[in-house]
Amino acid sequence: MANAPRQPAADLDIVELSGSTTLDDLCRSCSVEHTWVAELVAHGVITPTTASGGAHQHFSGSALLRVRKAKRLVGDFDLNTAGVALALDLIDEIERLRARLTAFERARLAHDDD
Amino acid sequence: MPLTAGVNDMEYKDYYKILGLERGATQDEIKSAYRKLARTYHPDINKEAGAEARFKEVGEAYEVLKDTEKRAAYDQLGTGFKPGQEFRPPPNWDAGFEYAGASGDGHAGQFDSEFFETLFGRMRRAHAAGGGGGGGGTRTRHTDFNVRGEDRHARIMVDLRDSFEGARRDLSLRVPEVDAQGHVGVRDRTLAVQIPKGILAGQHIRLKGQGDPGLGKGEAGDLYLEVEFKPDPLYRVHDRDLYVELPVAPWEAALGASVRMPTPGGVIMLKVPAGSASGRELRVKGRGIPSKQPGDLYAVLRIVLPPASSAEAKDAYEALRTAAGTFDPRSGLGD
Repeated sequence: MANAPRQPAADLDIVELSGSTTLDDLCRSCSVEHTWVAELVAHGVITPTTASGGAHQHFSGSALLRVRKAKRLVGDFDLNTAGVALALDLIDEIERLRARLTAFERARLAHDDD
Repeated sequence: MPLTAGVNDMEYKDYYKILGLERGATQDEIKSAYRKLARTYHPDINKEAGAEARFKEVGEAYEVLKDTEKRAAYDQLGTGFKPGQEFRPPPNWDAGFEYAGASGDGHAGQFDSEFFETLFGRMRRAHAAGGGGGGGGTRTRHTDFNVRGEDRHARIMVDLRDSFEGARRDLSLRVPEVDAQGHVGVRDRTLAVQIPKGILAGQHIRLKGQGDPGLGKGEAGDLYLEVEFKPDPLYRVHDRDLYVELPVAPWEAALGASVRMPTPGGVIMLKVPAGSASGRELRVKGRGIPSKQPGDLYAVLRIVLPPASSAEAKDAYEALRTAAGTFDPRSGLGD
């Protein structure tokens, strides 16, 4: 690894979770089609931040990340949209429970010190 | 994508062993073993260190064994190799095999494996450039000569401190590469990444053009780094807020006191109000993770009792009992 070419610091930007992106930008950035995004919306995987439908929809940064994750799961597991919606919900639930478990274990550890 | 320096992996890989199978396994057994392992190690599901590397290995093994022609070619390499043994493919080893099928868009299909790229990469790439490609709503990429490179996705572990101060990290990436003669290999490269101050767990850093190279005039894909915090021994993170447990003596909680408290930005003096109970949360505004609207730091009080180990300490507890009169810590439990 020592002889790997070293590069200057790369250009980067942070995907702001609360940022806003248009339907077109979302599709371009994730390399997906409008119709598939519409399916994800219909299954409640993501929710547009705007009330208007069609091409004028806007989405948050976290929706963008969710679309990317959905796409990975679809690609890797051959899921249909209902399946990926279920998988994402379960993954979210597991993450919530893990966070609670960590907090609980910390509290108990502190208690055991007494 | 491995974020640590790896050894050169031009070593023989036993794809059957990776899937936990015997050489004579049926296609159904291969499929079923892959599905099970992929669910177990998928990096979007399994957050443990090493899961991603294992997932890629499993995907690579499946990519070869699921395809009867690739499998036949692989089997032809023989059984004389040991996993990890240095490996060179025989000349023209792949003559007479025709590969079909483009890789998908998920994590699978990006293997970072020199072994795989040397044996099968050229075919895959030639096919990707030549059109065809899968159906399915999300796979429209292989229809043109000018194809945008794949985006890549990796996870990066940072310390809480990095979010406070910003940090520079060198990431080691392995990228597949086609040389002028059309040979495929993997190249290691190091990418310096500036971790921005105020980064949060769950946020993604997008590195434009640092994904896979495009084909034809297609631009390179992007590299997405998903940020995760290493567990911190002191602070618990909730969004931009931090929680730290602050031990206090009973008299500090009862009478009030100014106590030293660590913060990621340095030690401060915190005023504990008189009459504080254990578990009380004291907010220190703006001392959480930095941002235009920085998070807050919460001190969670925990009262620590001095041991009644000396005669004086015992006397003091006795005096406290007398002074407390009818105080009953269990009054809330009913009778």
